[in-house]
Amino acid sequence: MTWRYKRRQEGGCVRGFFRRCRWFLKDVVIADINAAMGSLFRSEEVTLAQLFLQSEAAYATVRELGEVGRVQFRDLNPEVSAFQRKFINEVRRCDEMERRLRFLSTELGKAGNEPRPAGNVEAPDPQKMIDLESKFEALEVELKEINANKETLCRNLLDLIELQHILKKTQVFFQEAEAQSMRPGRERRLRARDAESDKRGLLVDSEPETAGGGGQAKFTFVTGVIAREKVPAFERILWRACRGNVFLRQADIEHPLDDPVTGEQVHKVVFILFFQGDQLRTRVRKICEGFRATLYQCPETSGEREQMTVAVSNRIRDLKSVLHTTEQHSLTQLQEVALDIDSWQTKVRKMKAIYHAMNMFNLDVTQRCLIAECWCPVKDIPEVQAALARGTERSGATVPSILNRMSTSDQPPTFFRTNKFTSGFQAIVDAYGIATYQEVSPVPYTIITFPFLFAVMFGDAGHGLLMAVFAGLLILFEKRLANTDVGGEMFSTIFNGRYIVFFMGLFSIYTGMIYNDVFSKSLNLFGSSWDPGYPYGFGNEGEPPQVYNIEDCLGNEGVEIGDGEDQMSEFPTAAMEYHTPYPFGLDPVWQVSENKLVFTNSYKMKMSVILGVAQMFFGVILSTFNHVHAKSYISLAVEFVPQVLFLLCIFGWLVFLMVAKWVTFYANSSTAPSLLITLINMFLEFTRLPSDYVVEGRDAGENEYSVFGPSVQLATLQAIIQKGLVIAAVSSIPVMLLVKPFYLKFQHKKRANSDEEARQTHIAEQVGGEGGEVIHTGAQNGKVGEKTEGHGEGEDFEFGEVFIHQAIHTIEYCLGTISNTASYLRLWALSLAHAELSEVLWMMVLQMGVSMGAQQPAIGVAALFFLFAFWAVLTVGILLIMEGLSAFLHALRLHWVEFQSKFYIGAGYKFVPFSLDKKAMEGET
Amino acid sequence: MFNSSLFVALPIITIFWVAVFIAGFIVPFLIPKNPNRWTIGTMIATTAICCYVFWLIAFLAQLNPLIGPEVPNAVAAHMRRAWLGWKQAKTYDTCYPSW
Repeated sequence: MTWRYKRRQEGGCVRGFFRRCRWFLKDVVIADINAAMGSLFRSEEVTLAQLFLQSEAAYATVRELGEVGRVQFRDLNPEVSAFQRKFINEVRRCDEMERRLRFLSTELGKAGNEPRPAGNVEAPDPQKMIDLESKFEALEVELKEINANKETLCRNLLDLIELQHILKKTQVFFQEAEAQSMRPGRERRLRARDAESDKRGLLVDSEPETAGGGGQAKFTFVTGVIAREKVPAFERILWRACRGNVFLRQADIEHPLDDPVTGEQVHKVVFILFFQGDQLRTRVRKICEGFRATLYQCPETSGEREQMTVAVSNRIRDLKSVLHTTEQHSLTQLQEVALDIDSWQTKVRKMKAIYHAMNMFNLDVTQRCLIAECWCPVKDIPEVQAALARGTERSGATVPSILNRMSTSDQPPTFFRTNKFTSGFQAIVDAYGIATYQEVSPVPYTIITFPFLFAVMFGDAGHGLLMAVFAGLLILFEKRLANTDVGGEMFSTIFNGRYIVFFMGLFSIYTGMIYNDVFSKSLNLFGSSWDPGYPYGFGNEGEPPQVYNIEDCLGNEGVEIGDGEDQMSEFPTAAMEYHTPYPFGLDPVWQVSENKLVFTNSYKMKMSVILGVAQMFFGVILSTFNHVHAKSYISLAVEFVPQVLFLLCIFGWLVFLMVAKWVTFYANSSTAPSLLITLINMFLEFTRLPSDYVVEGRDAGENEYSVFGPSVQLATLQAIIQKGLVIAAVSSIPVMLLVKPFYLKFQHKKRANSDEEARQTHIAEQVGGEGGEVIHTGAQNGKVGEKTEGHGEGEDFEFGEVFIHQAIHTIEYCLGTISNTASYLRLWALSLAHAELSEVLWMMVLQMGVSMGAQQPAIGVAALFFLFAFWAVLTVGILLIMEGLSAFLHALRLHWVEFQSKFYIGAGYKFVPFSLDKKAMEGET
Repeated sequence: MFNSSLFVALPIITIFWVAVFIAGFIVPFLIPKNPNRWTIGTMIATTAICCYVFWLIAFLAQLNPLIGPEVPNAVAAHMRRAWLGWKQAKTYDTCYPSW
């Protein structure tokens, strides 16, 4: 509609056309880009806003704001310590609730209960806090009680089980003893025994019924249970402390017993100690205590023991049933908890976050109102206002909350609206530094140039295909993979960068096709341009005079072709059919040629420089958007323009020379000029012309001195152009260095003068005027003061500082241009390394199997099977993962250092909105 | 003497990538609702530049070669057999002894 209207208005003349073009650019394209500023070109406009919240509505409003997640609160009382803030009590109560919930969830974990995941639960109203608190407290108390009961029961049970074992084991001891006592000649044997077997005798003597004469004291015994690992020490101590007068018998309990306190399984041993006298009894008891052995009363007669055994097993049965019921009870309790615990945790966490946010607010003088300051993206203000209205409505407050935009000299936070695709690339840039507010962001270009530069280094279509398929699968199943955390941190890193990896793979396929490398082999899609039958030509069935076939050639040194020394056939450059290069990428003939590296090195080196200069030039161009946005036209004129001149006059010229050399046909290819020497001589032989060389006897007529052609005139032309370029490049350095600081100084002086003048006139007015005007002038004076303040840096203008800053900047740029261009040669180095590695891997591993198969097919097939596995593992492990990582790092560096240093300051800080979103909250804690 | 690379491959590939580049500026107008439309457009245009420059460098580097490939004799013989259908080959000595 607007189109047609405009056309009618402006008529069809040429001027009208230009006007329409301008209108289209300005009102359609630029306006649309501006409207789409939510995208990544520069960070979004963020404003400071003041919120007035009614005290009773504050909680509900902050809750709504948190659910929206679009504002970042500023701490208005940073000097107040955390313990003196207004809502610290509530925060503490939330902490207490969190502690209780943690207790409950550990209990759940012990019982092996999985909590039911709750969806997005809203934070509860503040009145509900007490309910929750009491609920959690009751649950905690109950569970603790159950646990205590369970522990006592378990301990009792353990005691009984141990007693049962004692009864069982001691029975054996006593039976043994009885059996011995039945034997005759006991006394005699006893006397004859040595010290060690004495113990046995003691045991026999200890039997009450066998204790004979009244002169002999009665043996007593103690029974108990001790942990198995303590037995040797226990035995030793007993022996030493009682001087061997105590006799110990022991028997293992076969099954480990549960320790009721720690819940661990312990192997224990039943022991029985025999001794004589009360003194020993106390000593033995002390030692037992020291070793934490539990002692049990064991009846002396076998009848009593049997009775006790029955009683004990009855009690064990009872206890077990009681324990079972208790456990059932606690399980049902925990099951109920498991249903709700996740939602409770979310609720409490949200509540705590809300009170934390409210602690940053200021109280109004009237105490009726909370004042908050927040950063808010301008685009989201309507949404925030809607949230405010909802909060007021839900809390039932009568007075609505108010949002006021404020102006500030503080730098707002940097906010980019990213999605799952762009966030990975944004993260790459953020890792270097968060963009300064509203600065040009490299992200939209990095999305492509990063994978592209990666692929220049990684160029192999086969490897790229594997990478793209892998990342493509991650993308295809991203919903399923996002919710399950399998594979740990390494996997999640790759998963988060899946779109980057996917693009890296795609571009690697493209660059691999250009390099004509597919797993280090070339494809001959269009037919090589090099004619192996030269000079007979392609397809021309010449009549060869000599019988010659491939079988003769294999391993047959006798066939003499070419120069005959190294059995090489060199295709002359004329063998390239009519100088028609291979239409897409490198000619496949290079893959099988021995001098492949001579060609690819020259090609890739030049390619690196061209890509590097292009990217750096683009970076310098991007800096203009920063200058225009900051309305710093002086920077545009005396920084941007000389920067461009410096870059283009040296390295732009080098790129031009490269292209010119490629395009020019050199009849005698050995006399083609060396570009490196040309570039060096541009500076070193600045004062000389090619005609001088002729005088010196060097031949300027050869095209050694010019890419354009073999004539002195052309060489002179090039030399003159180069002199002009050197002058332009060198003279741009002082412009970069000097003009801006002096301009700023001049500006500052001018401003200071005008301020001074203004002040003078005020004083004059004040002096000349009546007394009644004093107030008025005072007000105006205040205004003047404000104005100078408004200029900010104008007040404390330090020329030295500005100059040093500019000098550093200039030196950095000029040296950087040279070193960064050299730095781009890593593109060549890494792609060379990658191509060579994959070729070596092919030759050393897979080709071995193939050649084996040519001689002995049966063995070859078997060997090839394993060799292929080996080759595949190495391809993935070394060429894909390790080489991929290294190419990734180098691409990262090229973007961070070489590209971004041309325009990106990265001195901002991130916009972190207050959000009750589950993910955001987990990220915080 | 028809130079197929210069007169077929060069124009076709140039036109293709220029078209893609221009598409980068048209696409944003086709998806006016998408908040990332200019990011998408930039991506398309940047892709076109990168890919075209990369292809062009490889193409130009081979336009006027300064050296020819040195191929092992066995491979050269095989190329003649496979590509030219020669059963027999002549030696280079008889073809061009001068270089």
